Amino acid sequence: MSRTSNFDYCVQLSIAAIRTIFHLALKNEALFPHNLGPFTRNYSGQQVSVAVALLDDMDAPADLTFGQDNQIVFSLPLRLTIAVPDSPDPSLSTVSLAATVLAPGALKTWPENGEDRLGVDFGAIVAANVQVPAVTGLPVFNAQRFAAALHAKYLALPQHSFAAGGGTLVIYDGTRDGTLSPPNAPGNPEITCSIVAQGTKNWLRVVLPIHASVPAAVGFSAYGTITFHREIVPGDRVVGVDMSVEPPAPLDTVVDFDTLHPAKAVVIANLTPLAIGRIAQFGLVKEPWFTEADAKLALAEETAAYLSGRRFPVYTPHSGDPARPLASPVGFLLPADGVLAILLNRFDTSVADAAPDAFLGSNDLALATSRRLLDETIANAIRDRFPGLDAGASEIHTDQGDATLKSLTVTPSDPGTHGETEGHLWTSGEAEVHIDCWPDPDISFDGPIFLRLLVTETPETCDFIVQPVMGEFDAGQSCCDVFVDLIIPVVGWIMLGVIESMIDEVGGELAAEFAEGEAQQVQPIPPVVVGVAELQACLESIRVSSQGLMMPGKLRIRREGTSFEDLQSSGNLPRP
Amino acid sequence: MPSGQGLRRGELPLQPPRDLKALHIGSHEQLMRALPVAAARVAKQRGFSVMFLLNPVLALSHYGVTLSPAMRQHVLHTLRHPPALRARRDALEASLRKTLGEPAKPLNAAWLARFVFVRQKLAALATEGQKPSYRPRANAAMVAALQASLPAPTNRYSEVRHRIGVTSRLGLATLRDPPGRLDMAAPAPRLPPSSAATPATLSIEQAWFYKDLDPLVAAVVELGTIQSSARRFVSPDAFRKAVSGEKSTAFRTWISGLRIHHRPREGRP
Repeated sequence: MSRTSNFDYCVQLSIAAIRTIFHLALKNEALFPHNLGPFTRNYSGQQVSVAVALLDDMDAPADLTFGQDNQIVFSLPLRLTIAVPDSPDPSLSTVSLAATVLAPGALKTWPENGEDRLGVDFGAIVAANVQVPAVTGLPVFNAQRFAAALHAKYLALPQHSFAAGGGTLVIYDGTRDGTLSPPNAPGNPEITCSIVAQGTKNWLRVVLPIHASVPAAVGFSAYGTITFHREIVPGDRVVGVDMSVEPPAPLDTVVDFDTLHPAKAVVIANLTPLAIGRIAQFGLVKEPWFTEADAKLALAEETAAYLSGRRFPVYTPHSGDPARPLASPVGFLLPADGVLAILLNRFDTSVADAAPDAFLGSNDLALATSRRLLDETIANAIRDRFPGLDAGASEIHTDQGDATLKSLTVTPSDPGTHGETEGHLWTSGEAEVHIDCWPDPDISFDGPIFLRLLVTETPETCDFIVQPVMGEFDAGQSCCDVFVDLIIPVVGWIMLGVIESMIDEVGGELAAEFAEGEAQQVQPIPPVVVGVAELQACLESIRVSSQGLMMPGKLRIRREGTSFEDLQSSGNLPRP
Repeated sequence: MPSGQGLRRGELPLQPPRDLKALHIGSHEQLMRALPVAAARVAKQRGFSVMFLLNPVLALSHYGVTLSPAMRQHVLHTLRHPPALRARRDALEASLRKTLGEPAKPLNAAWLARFVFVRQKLAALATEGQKPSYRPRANAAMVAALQASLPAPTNRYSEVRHRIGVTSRLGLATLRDPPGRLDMAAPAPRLPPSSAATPATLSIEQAWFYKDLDPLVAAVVELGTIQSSARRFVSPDAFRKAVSGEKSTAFRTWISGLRIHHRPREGRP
């Protein structure tokens, strides 16, 4: 295990940074539409309308956690609104289910516009991949909902007055039909419903106000009611009441009148079959209906349908030069540490890619180079700058004298080694110093060079200057010029080159603005997540260890695209 | 290397060489003849050899080689500069002493002010905020090569609006310009007279702006640059503190040892 595994570079981002990027991705309507549908779904043969709403606000925030196997588990507040389109009163027959679902997204790299992007891909997610811990909005058997449905059904009936056997039957529902004669009884009674449980079944008990007029039956004319029961039959996500199915006694239909008329019994006996027929005209009353299991399954299905094929980018390095493509970023999640590790430049293909060690600590961001690369860079630079060293001698000429450098090694070393509490570059070598009139002495030297990052931060800038510091040396001891004038600056420039290469290779930006040739404008990591966010990284220190270089920093993130603040600053806020 | 006691090399007391027969040196020839012996003693007890860099005369005495006062002066004078610079310094010191009637003291700011403004009667210049020219650093070519080897600018994200509005610059800390590297060949800028009172002191850097106005001033400034670049050797007290580890020095921290050759190397005088 190492900071960079079998790669040369590693960028680590905190879970907090990933959450921020995720929230900004959720604000992108193209990536995550907030309202989908309504779609038509078939529940138990019933066509229903389903609308999906994705939420992410103060009351219902979305969230994410890092899981195993490079899976990010997203908490997504979701609301399903289900309605039966041909329901008598859709406004009263709508169910709104809400849940915070848990859906996994895979950390993946994919090509887009010729560049590789690292991000989260929900791929071919299916309902079985989605967890729904709890649901709100489950419907309950509610007599009022059925009553409302019957009110609507009543209005839909072609007539409310029926002639039969020389008599007339009128059915009422409050004042919904003001043309009836006679008008409804005093108080304008409505159709009322209640639910009656009997055994394992639920029954809808309905009281229907009526008036019957049978002149042949000794001038019978009276108000009354038809009381009937119909079974409430739960189905798959739909509950139905079939008004045409008359149950056996004791739940059979009962007609009664508010009169003591002697023909009352005869009229009731003759009218009851007619009443059952009229009740059947109310047809089938259906309502959306979900058990908890049904609701969870429906939410899981709609979540999978919503997320399937969706993905959003997190790290999008841009080469800008087709002739010099950047390495594909390879991501690993380190759940225990809340870290997303992004590896670039695979140097060893003989081993399987492996997750690196977490080195982010409490920072937002950290960049690291491999020890391998650091050693190689140092060795190459020393070989280039001190030609002849490989053969045992490199001549050095300065104002203060000449020397022959015979060996020079620079070894990244851990804190606690060489008696130093700080990580350092242990520099050692041998030189022959030429002093005329004195036999040239060979000098064996070794000691620590510390790397410091001098950070200057203002509201507009975050500058970082690398300062190599030679352990124990100060200006008053400067006569050993071979060190002060050569070794330290050379090591400093080598390290600056390592850091710039790291920025370059991880997809950051080196701008061409030089300040006295010793500084340039940089973006330590890609400054944009395409379509989602703008980033600005500020490096805060540099740490040397036997594993290489590591630079922690912090990250500013804001939404890509026009924000409220942009419009406000430009005076272009929408006006009334 | 650091010790097992948690002390760094420079903080550990050095064991002086022991059991050495005293050699007394009174001439250059005697010194040359004694060098094989001294080199052997250094090779045998190398741990103390780093002290040659702090003060070669005192280090030699610990290796049993005692120099006469004249030879001490000779050795220290010889080692302060490379031969060419030493010769130039000797020539300048001699000619200036002859011309001025006294030793030139360019590193003495009060003496230098009197010399420029009183003896040479030059008017004070407005040097505030001006920087003299320095000779290219010894490592200038190497640094230029390293700088050239840095990754090329990419400007990959020039199309990004950068609305966060924070820019970052990365660089290397400016390396100090050590004294003694003033560029005597570079022309000094023509500066207006100073409106302030004639200063009572003048640094060698300030005097550099007067060098093109008076050849004698130029000679004094050149001497000052050479003198300020001289290797410095520590006093006996500082030497003792360095040996005991009481005062850590860069040499003891960094240098693990010297090996002295008893004859000039091939191809060298």
